[in-house]
Amino acid sequence: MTTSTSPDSAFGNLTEESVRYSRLSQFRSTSEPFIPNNPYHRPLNPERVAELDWSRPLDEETFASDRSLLANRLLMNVYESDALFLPAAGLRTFEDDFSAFYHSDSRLAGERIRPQMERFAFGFLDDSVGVSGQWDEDTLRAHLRHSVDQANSPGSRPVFDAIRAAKSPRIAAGTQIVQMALDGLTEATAMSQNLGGAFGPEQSELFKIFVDEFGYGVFPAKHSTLFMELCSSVGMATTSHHYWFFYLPSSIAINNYFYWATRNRTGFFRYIGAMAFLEATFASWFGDLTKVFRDVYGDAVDTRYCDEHAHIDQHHGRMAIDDLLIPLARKHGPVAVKGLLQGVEEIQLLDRLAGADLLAQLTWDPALSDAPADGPAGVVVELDSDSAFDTQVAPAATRLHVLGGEALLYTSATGDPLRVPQGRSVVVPAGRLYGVRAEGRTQLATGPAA
Amino acid sequence: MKGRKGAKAPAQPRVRAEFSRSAHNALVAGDDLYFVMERDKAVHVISSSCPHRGGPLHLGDVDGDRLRCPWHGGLFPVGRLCDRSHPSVRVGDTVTVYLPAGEHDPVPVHTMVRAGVDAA
Repeated sequence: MTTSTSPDSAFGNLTEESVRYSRLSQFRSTSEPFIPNNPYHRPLNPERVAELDWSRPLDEETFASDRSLLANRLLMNVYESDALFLPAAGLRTFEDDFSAFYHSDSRLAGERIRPQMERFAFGFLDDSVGVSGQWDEDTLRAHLRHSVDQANSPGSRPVFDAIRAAKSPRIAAGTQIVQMALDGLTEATAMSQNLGGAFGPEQSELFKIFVDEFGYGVFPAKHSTLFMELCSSVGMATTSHHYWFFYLPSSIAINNYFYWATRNRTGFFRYIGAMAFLEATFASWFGDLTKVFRDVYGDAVDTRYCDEHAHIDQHHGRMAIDDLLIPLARKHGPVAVKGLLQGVEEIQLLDRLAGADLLAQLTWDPALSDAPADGPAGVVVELDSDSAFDTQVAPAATRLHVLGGEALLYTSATGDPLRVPQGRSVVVPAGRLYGVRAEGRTQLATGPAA
Repeated sequence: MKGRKGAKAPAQPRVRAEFSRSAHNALVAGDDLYFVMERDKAVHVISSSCPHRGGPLHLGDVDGDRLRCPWHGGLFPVGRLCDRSHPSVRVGDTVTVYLPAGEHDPVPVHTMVRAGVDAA
């Protein structure tokens, strides 16, 4: 699904061009941990992008790594500059960013790096998943049924169990909502990229699903509106990418997967397979999520977003398989069957990897400690209230030791950051997303945990 | 894909089996053996019984792009064998395959397979 280029020159160019792209004004840094109201301001970090080794593509092991975070943030910005975002409060103070985000030069700069970044981010799927043999309809249906039943089987929701068991279930549930916001506040834009064109009765069947998603043209019934009501009811922000810094790499990657699968139209069957599998499992998943939110937030939470999915996706699951997937397989033959199954298997694999990433983030409870006297000193950085904020994924267990001042450790978008005073330290486990800021002059030593 | 509507014959009942690509290279179901052939990184599960007299294709040699039955020398294009292999999906090391249903459930095994790995 990508163009071929000479690897050596390609990676050299990719480094230069990805850094150039990340330096565009709309991707500038900020000292704040949240991005209020401005859908175009999506901080990238040119210095970290410059360090990204593009010659080592992601795989299952690195799907939730820092390299994945950087690459998927870049890709997300490239993809989303093709979709229209307008600030809820109006454009008046964001006109420059509006122009910059959609400027032809900016989009061209993104398009130049997109194919190689896609190969970097998703190339491993061709090695991880394979489909072979002659499939008949009964076998295809049996395989789909088994896959859906397995996804909905008892014990298949360790993240939900972890939210209930968390020290602060509200913070844990907030982390779950943030990951959903990537899709929920953008009206499933990533999944709606194949509505155009002319592909027969199946195009109309696909539209039926999206007609429900878009609330039949009634704004209060739109699924993204229901998601905003969910956020509001628990005191969370409702604007797109307010939580930019707190999306886990695996969450962005799954959203990007749908952009990738639909960007090149030969990925259509892969897209339908992945979408149909999700639609077929959503009803049960959202039904269980409603119970989690009720347990955590009580009666105050507005669960209509979940309730709507728990109901309508019973229909969407059936429609996506009986009226889309199977008819496409019948009509278009082995190429379609292979693509459809590829999508079904890929989304399950990515969902497993993302589930493990989210579970690890939810169950991480950072604790203060004294730095070991003989521990490695690490790199010392100076922070103050104007320092650029960023989040990153720890490549290995990392000790943050405050030499002077006070550091604020962010590990989730909801709840208060952990205050780490002078002389104390905290260990960030390998693979965990975190960000550090300071309200005053602070010295921080960062190094491997002994 | 063979559909149910308008099909000349009902689809063959199949049974699901899983095996580890690294640990197993065949499945046995009663007297039937199915062997694993890898080609261009794709895993194919193929019936070992030669359509001529039931010779053990998994013990045949691959010569160029053809598999020779060890009994009477029948030649079968590897590409065609793979195209007609049993429906399967591989995710990482795990392969799920749907084999013809019979009296015995398929059991993954590791056995001598001469025609199996990286056939041209």
